[in-house]
Formats: sequence, structure tokens, C-alpha cells
Amino acid sequence: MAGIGRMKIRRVAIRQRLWLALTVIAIACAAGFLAGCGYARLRSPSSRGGDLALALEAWRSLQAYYCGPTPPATELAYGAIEGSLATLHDPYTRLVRPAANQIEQDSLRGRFGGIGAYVYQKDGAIWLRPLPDSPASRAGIREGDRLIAVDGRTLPEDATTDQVVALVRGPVGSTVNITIERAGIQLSFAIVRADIPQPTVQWQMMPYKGLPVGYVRISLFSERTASELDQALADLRGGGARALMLDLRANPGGLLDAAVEVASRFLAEGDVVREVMPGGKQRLYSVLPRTRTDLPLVVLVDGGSASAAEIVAGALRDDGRAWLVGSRTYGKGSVQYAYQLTDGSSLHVTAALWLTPAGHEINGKGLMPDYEVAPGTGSADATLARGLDVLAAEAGLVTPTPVSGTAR
Amino acid sequence: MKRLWAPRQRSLGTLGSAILLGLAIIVAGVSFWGGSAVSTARARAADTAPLQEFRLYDEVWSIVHREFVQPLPPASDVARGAATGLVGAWHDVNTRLLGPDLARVARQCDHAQCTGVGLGLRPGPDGRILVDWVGPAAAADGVRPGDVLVSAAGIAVQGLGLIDAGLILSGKPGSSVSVVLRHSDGSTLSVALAHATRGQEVVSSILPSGAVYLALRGWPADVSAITAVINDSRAADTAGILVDLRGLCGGTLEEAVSVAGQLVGENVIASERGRDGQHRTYESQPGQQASALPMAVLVDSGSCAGAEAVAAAVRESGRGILVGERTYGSGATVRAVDLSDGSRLLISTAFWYTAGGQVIEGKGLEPDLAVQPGNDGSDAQLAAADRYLAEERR
Repeated sequence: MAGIGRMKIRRVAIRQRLWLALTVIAIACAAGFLAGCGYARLRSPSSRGGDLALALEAWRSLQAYYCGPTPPATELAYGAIEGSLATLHDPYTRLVRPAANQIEQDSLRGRFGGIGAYVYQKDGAIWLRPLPDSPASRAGIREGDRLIAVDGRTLPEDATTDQVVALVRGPVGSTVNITIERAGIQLSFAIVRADIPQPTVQWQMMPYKGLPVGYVRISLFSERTASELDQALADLRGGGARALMLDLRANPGGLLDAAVEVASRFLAEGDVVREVMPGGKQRLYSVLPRTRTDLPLVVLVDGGSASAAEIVAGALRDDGRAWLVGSRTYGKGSVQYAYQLTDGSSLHVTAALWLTPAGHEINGKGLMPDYEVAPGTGSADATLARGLDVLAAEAGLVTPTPVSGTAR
Repeated sequence: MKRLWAPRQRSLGTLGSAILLGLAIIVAGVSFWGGSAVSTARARAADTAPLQEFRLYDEVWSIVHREFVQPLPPASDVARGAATGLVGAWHDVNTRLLGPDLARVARQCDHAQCTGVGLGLRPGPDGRILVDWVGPAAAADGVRPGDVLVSAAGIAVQGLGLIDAGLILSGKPGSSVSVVLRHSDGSTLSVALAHATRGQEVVSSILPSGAVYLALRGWPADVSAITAVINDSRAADTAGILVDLRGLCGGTLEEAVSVAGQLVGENVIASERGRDGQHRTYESQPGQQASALPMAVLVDSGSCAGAEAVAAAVRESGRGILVGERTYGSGATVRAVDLSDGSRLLISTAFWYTAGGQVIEGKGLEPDLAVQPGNDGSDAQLAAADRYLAEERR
């Protein structure tokens, strides 16, 4: 009796354990399967970025019901990419679709070239100053050569620089004959016109109320800007300038390095700009040891001053080196990296933001000038006039009448 | 004996548990592999089978994740942006994604007959939506023609498009919607506008010139009100019939056909062409009698879909001319598909064609007599149409 009882108990116990084992294995099986599904989903590419699942859901319905043809798959992919990037609310992070015709359009066809020399008027004559490494300098034109004729036609007495430039310029690859006078001897040069990058710095003396003001306009920040500025500053100093006006209006920016170089012509030390990267990492761009000028300085800015121009203006203002005169700047203070994608399009991504040395965020805000002049006030250059006014006060001549001056 | 059994039992149990545990681990491992394989295969079938090109999307977003300087928006926003962009590749005003807010409004009208708030709309510059005409109820609330519709039901209107702007104003009769409008003097008006009750869509009067004025302020459930106006015009000595379809949008092709039938009699009104050349012709009911009086139809850039089908039917049947501006250019039968995130996908399943075979979608109708709306408060378009009817009669 006791034995049977034990066997019964054992049988019951074994059945219980069998059930327990089956349950455990079933749970293990289910848990493993679900974990596997979840793991695969985590690793699947469509969950890496924004999710494409919704777009695909829409795509399937459109495939099923739309009454016309489905657009090409590349168009759909571009659409989805552009739609998803739009949610970043950053106009500079964008997809640039491949443009097959772009390279052709950029070829020499229809472009105008020059010989690479400054044309300037002095003492009732037209003179040349060749740019280094330009067709003009390679052909043998030297600074101080007096221009006599273009393509055999002698220049009229009252020729203006604009008229001369129009004669000298022509299609890239064509030849122009330049006749000059050097030390009493006439020389002729055949020069092949080439694509000449436009100078980025222009300057002139601009005396104001007895103050010899050196006016410098930077229209773009390129590799050549720093050397052009050096030449401008040397020239103006030679011309007796006792104050400087730096015009950054309608300057869309350019190279960050050029901005640092330019700021270093006016600042002794400190930082030019702070670059903030993802995760809050910062990189400082410091003032470089360069020959600099201590002359009183006013910077003209407007809504067209963007990017590198805002960096220079912000650095000079934060340091107390210059007043800003004009109107609020554009507010483009971000850095884009361009990535070539496998299909030939490229992606521009805003990868860093620029802050002025004092920590003012340029992006979307811009810089408010110290002396505000409403854009388009009157036909004369009201901003320039106001700038000269402020500069004269800075140089200790007169007191400016603040219109909407903001304290620094 | 008892003491011998117990330890043996225990030792067997421990061994069993160990085997069980091992087995469970192996099973779990195999299942894990199986699950991940199944899921990957399904994902691949779903994702890459249709579009190899979507790998570019992953390429782009892996860069954005790594490089973009600002915090990224929620993944659900990005997903909806991607879907919106993809749908945009169809370049079809009716094929579009309604976000959850707009989809909620649209779903209300799935099973109930929705009405508007007694306002006509027209597209303005820079994606703005302007008030075209104002019904008596909205006029009493202070809405004026030419007002900019800023928001409705808390949804910003600029950039939404004419059709969706009309959609957010619609709702069940008896309910109301809060709207913000900007008057031409720059002041804003925040007001709750009531959804109109059914049966007020047909507005008619006799103009000083003697012409019958018949305006549609929505799509009537039954067209007997129009029949009555037409019959009255026959009885009286009228100069002609002036049908005002300005700022009238929406409507199905069936609704448009029953309205047009009242104006042009028994006729082919329109057709629709769907997938694979499927073609369906819409004709008005036999027995409908057209009025012989001269007719002019007022249209403007806010006349869309059903209004365009009616206007085209009047012109192409030779019954009357179109006066005003080029119409909006939207005519499609649309199917709604609700997506998993609460948004709603609208898909054109057929495009509408006029009886003369002209597609409405993306084209619109050019008026026979082009008249810009007066900006001094007078109705230059109505005056021009009235003059035309008077001359026709002479």
C-alpha cells in the first residue's frame, strides 16, 4: 500500500514536472523569438534615422489606389529625404539633387574673362597694375605701365576706367592686344584672356571734415582677401589715413579662415569666433599674430552682411575695437559640411554654430548695430554718412548725435 | 527507506532542473535566431523590395545623426515629414497627407453630413487663404470679405491650401469652430463660427436688372430648391439667370451632376478616368428641362472641384458663359486611407473630365469674360455678368 502510494505520488510529481518543463521551454521559445524580432528591428536600417515605416505605409496605399503612374523611385526617395529634413527647420541642412547639366553650364561657354590687372586713373591717364600670377603679369605687364591702346585703337583723352575695362574684357580664351608706354617706350603685348577672380577688396581715401578716412570695402571673404587687405591698408596708411571705415555691407561671407585673417589685421589678441559642435563641444579661433592697425575703426553692416562678415563684425565689436553702424545683419552663423552621396547628390548638414567671442549666437538673430540706420533711408548713402560721423567722433573731432545708439 | 527516497528524489530533481535550464537556453537561442531571421526577412520584404533607392534615406540620416548641431526632432515628426515628402512626389493637389489634427477633423465628416460656416474661400498671395463671400451668420459675427483666415480649430491656415482650409472649417451642423481672421486694416478677429444647418445652400434673389441670381453656398442634399428658382424664372419675365459659384469648393461628381442637370437639362455632364483607363460617364437624369433663358456663371479662383464641373457643363452645353477669373483647377475622386500614426492619406483614384474631354485637375477653367474682383467693395464680376445678360436679351 505504501509502495503504490509512493508510485502514485511520483507519477503525479513527474507529470507536474513535465508540465513545468514544457511551460519553461514554451516561455523560453516565445521570449527568444520576441527578443530576436526586437533585436532585428533595432538593427534594421529604417529605424536608424527617422522612421521610413510611415512613408512606406503611404507608398503601399498609393501603389494600390492612385489613378496614375507612380513617380520614379528616385523621386520618391528624394521626396522622403527632403520631407524628413524639413522637420529640422534649418534651411541650410538640405539635399542637393544631382544636376547633370551643371558642369556643362559652368564650362567656358559664354563666360567673360580679363587679363588680370587693375585699371586705374591718375594724372589724366590710365594705368595698369597686374595681379600676381595673372595673364598680364606673365605676359610682362608691370605696375605703373601706362595704357595707350587696346587692340590697336588708341584710347581717347577722356577715357574712363569703366570704358577701358569694357574694351579689355572679352570671351575667355580670346586674345587682346595691349599697348603700353613704359619709360618713354611703347610696348605691345598679346594677352590671352582668362577667367579672373574678381578682387574682393576695394579701397580709397575718403576725407571727412578734415579727417583723412581710409575706406575699405570687402565684398567677399576668399583666399585672396587677406593679401588684398594688406595691400589696401598699406596703401591707405601711405595715403595718410588716420581712421578706417570697413564696409561689410552686402558681403555674403565666404571662408572662415579669411574672416580670422581679416579680424587679425585689427585685433591684438583674443578670439575671433567660437564654433559650437554637436554635444556642446567648442572650438575657439584665436586672433593670429599679424601686422595690425590701431587706427579708429567703424564697421558698416546691413541685412546683406552674412556669415564670415558677421564673424568679423562681431569680433571687432565684442573686443571694443569698432562700432557697428547700419542695420541688423543677416543672421547666418552656421557651418555646413557637404557630403557626396552614392547617387551623385550631395547633403549639406549644419554641423556647427558660430558664436561671437562674447557668446552672442549669430544664427537666426544677426547682430544689432551700435548705431542703427534704417536701410534705404534717402537716396544718398545715409549709412556711410552716419559711419563717417561716428568715426569723426571716435577720432576726437566732433560728438555724434545718437539716433538709436545702443550702449555696448 | 523514507530517508533514502527523499535525497534521491532531490538529486534527480536538481539534474532535471539543470537539463531543463539547458534545454530552455538552447530553445531560447534557437527562437531568438528564428525571430530575428523572420523579422529581418519581413522588414526586407517590406522595405527594400519596393525601393532600393530608399537606402539613400538611411545614408542621409546616418550623416544627420552624426553631424547635425541642434537636437533632432522627435522620430514621429521625422517619420511624418518623410511620408509627407514622399506623397509630395506625386505632385497632385488632392493626393496628400493630412496630419493628425487635420485628419481628426476629416474623420468627423466620414459618417456625418458636414457643413461649412457660411464662408467662401479663395487662395491669396504667399499661401494665404482669403474670405471670398460671407453668409449672413458669419457677417453678423464680424467676418468681412477679403479677411485673411489665420487659423481655424487651432490649426494655422497659411500654406495649407484652399481645399484643406475649407476642410478645417467644416463640421457637424450645430457645432462650431473657433477661427482667427485678420481684417484688411490689420486688426484681428477671434470668433466661434457655427456650422450651418443643412438646406440653406441655395440662395436666390431677383437683381435690379430683372435677372435671377442663384448662388450656391454649399452642396444641397436635394436640388428642388434650384428647380423652384428655375421654374420661377420661367414663370416671371426675367432677363436671364446668373449662377454664382464663386468660393464654392468640394462636392462629389454626383452632387455636381445633379446641380448641373437643373441648369442644362438632360446631358452628359462629366466623366472620370481612373486606373488602367477605367472610364465612367456621368449624365443628368432624363426628363430634366433646361431653361432657355440666357445664363452666366460667376467663377473665381476659389471655385473648385464640383463648382468647376458645373461651370464646365454650362459652358460646354452652350447654355451660358463663365464670368470672373480662372478657376482653382482641382477635380478628382479621392480615397481616404488612415495611417497608423493617426494621419490620413488622401489618394486621387480618378480624375474628372468635362463633357468636352478637358481635364480639370491642375488646369482649371478660363472664363469667357475675365473680370477681376473689385477692390472698392463693389462686385465688379456680378455687374459684368449682369450687363452681359442684359445685352444677350436685347
